[in-house]
Amino acid sequence: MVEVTIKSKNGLHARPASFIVSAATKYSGEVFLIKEGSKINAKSIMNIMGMGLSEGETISIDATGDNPSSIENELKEIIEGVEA
Amino acid sequence: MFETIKGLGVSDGVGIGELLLVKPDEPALESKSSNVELESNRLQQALGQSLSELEDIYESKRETLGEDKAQIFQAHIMILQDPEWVKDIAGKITDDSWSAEYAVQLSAEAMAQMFEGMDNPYFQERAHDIRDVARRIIRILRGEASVDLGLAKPGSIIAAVDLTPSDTAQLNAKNIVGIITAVGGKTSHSAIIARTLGIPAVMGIGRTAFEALAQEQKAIVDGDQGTLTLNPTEQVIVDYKDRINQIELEKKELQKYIGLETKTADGKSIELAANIASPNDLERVLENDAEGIGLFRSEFLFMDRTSAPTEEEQYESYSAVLKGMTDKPVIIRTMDIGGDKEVSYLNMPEEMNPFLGYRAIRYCLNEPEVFKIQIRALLRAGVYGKLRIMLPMISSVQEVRQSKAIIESVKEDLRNENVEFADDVPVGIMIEIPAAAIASDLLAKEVDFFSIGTNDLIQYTVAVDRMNESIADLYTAYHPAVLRLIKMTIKNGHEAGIWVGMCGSVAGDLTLMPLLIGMGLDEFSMSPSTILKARKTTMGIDYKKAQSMVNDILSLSTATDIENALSK
Repeated sequence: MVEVTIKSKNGLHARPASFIVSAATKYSGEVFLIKEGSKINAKSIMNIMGMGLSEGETISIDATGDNPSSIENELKEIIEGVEA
Repeated sequence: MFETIKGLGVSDGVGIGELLLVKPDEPALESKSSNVELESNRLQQALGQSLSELEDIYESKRETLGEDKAQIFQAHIMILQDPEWVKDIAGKITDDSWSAEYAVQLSAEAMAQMFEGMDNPYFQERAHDIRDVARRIIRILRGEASVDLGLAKPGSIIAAVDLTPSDTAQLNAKNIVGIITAVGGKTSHSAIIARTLGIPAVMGIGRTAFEALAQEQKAIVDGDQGTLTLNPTEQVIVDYKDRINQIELEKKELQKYIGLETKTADGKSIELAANIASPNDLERVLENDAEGIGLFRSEFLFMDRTSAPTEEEQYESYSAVLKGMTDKPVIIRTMDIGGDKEVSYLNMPEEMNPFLGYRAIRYCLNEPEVFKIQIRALLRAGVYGKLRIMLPMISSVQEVRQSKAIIESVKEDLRNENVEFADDVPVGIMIEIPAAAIASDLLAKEVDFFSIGTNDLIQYTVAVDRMNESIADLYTAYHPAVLRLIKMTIKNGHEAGIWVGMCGSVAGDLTLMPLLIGMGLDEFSMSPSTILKARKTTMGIDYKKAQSMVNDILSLSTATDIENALSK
C-alpha cells in the first residue's frame, strides 16, 4: 500500500481519472483507492470521480495480485503528475 | 396530408427533402421480467453494441474534429466499461427482476444524482455524460437505430427540439438541405450555425407541431417565409423548384458584385466583413468576397471539449484565419463564455440569470491565467496579418483598463522570452450593454474601435430574454430606444476619432442598412451569405439622403412605425 496527496488545484478530474482507470485495467489483480475507510475499485471511472477528490486530500492505493507495488507506484505517479 | 406550419425564418433559402428527426429520448418505463437470463443476455448484447457504436464515433470524430473534441466519446466508453456500474445494472436484473431497459435507467439515474449532489460544478456536469451513455444503451435495447447527424443522407432536413453545439459540430453541411427546430429564434446557437453554413432554417415551430412530425416525411423548408410544408403536392414541389431556380439565378446575379468596392451611390466607402466561428468558415468568407472578418467568435474553440484549448492550438486557429485573410483585417473576439454558451471544464457555477452573470470579460478578468493564454496566442498569431482584438461584455472603463493592462503584461512576458509577436494590435470593444452605449463617449477615449453587438444590446435594453418564445415580438432592433443607443454610440465613437462597426444579426438586416449608413456606421459584419446582397444594397443607397432621413426616422414613436417607414 502507498499513500499519495492530491496536489492539483481542481482535484481529480475526468482526464486523470481516466488515466488511472486505463492503468488499473491493464493490471490483472484488484486495485483499490482508499479514502477515510471507504474503499473503491480503481478500475471504475465513476467510483473514482464519485470520491470527489480535491486538492490536499490524501488517499491510499492498495493492490492485490502479482507484483502489487508496481501498479501502486504507477498510479501514485499518475496522481502526482496531474496538472492544474 | 398536405400541411403548412408557420415558424420563424432564420436562415434564407428553400430546401426540399426528407425529415431526419432527432426526437428527445423517452425514459424507460418501470417494468419487470420473469426471464432473468434473457434480460441479462439482452443487457450484455446492448453493452457490446453500444461499445462498438461509441468506438466508431470516437474514431470518426478524431479524424474530422481532432483528438480533443473526440475526447468526450472516450469518456463515454470508459463509463460504459465501468465494472462497478455494469455490476450494479446486472444486479438490478438478477436480484430485482427489472427489465434490462429499466435496470439501466435506475442505475444511471442513481449515479447521475450522486454526481449532481457533489459540490464541484465540474463533477455535477458528469451527470450528463452518464445519462447520455444510458440513453444510448436503452435505445439499442429498444432496437431503435441511432441518429448520427454526421451520417445524414443527402437531401436531409434535420428536425429537432433544439440543436446543441455538439449536434451542430457533427453536421455534414453538404447533405443537409434544411433545419427545423421546435424552440429558438433568430439569435439561437442553431440559427447562427445555419446562417454560417448557408442552410435554410425555420425555428420555433412549437413543441406540438414538432411532436406530430414523422421520420423520413417529405417536407419543404422555406427560410424566407418561415414555413415548413409537409407532404407537399406535386404542384407545390414544382412551384418550389421554380423558387429554388429563381434563388440560384439571384445568387448568380450577385456574383457580379464580387471584386467590386463597397461604396454608396454617392461614393462613401463602407466595409462589409464576415462573422465566423472557426477557421473552417473561411471558405465561405472568401467565396462571398468579404472585406475582412468583423467577428471571430473565439469561444467556439472552447466548446464541446473536455479541457481548454492550449496556447498552441489557439495560435494555430488564429494564425490559420489571419493567413487565410492575407492583408484583410481580422477582428478576433476574446472568449465570450457563459450566458447560453456553457463550458463545463471552466467550472462556472450555474446561475439564475446567466446573461446577467459571470460571463465573458468578467470571467477573464477574474481568471487572468486562462485569459493570458488566449492573449499570448493572439499576439503571437498577430504577425501573420491585420489582427484586431475585441473584448466582449464591457460595461465600464475599469474593465477596459484592466484588460489592456493584462495585454501589456503579456507583451512584456513575450518580449522577455524573445518570442515573436505583433506589438501594434488595435484593441476595441463590443458595445452590447446599454451602460457601454450610454458611456460610449468615455469608453471611446480608451479603445481603438467599437463594434455594436445588437443581439445582446436589444436583449438588455428592452429587458427581453432572446430565448423566450412568448415575448419574442418584443425583441426588435426597430425599437426607438435601441436605435437611439446605436446612433449615440456611432456619434461618440466618431467624435473621439475611432471607427464604429456592428456585428450582431442586425448588421445583416438590409432594411435597416440605409438608416445605419445614414448614422455613419463604418463597418457591417454579417454571415458570409449576406455579404453580396449587402454590397448590392449599399451601392443603391445615397449617403446624403440617408443622413438626412435619420432624424425623421428617430422621431417616430413605435418600432412598427419605424419598420414601416424603412420598408417603403
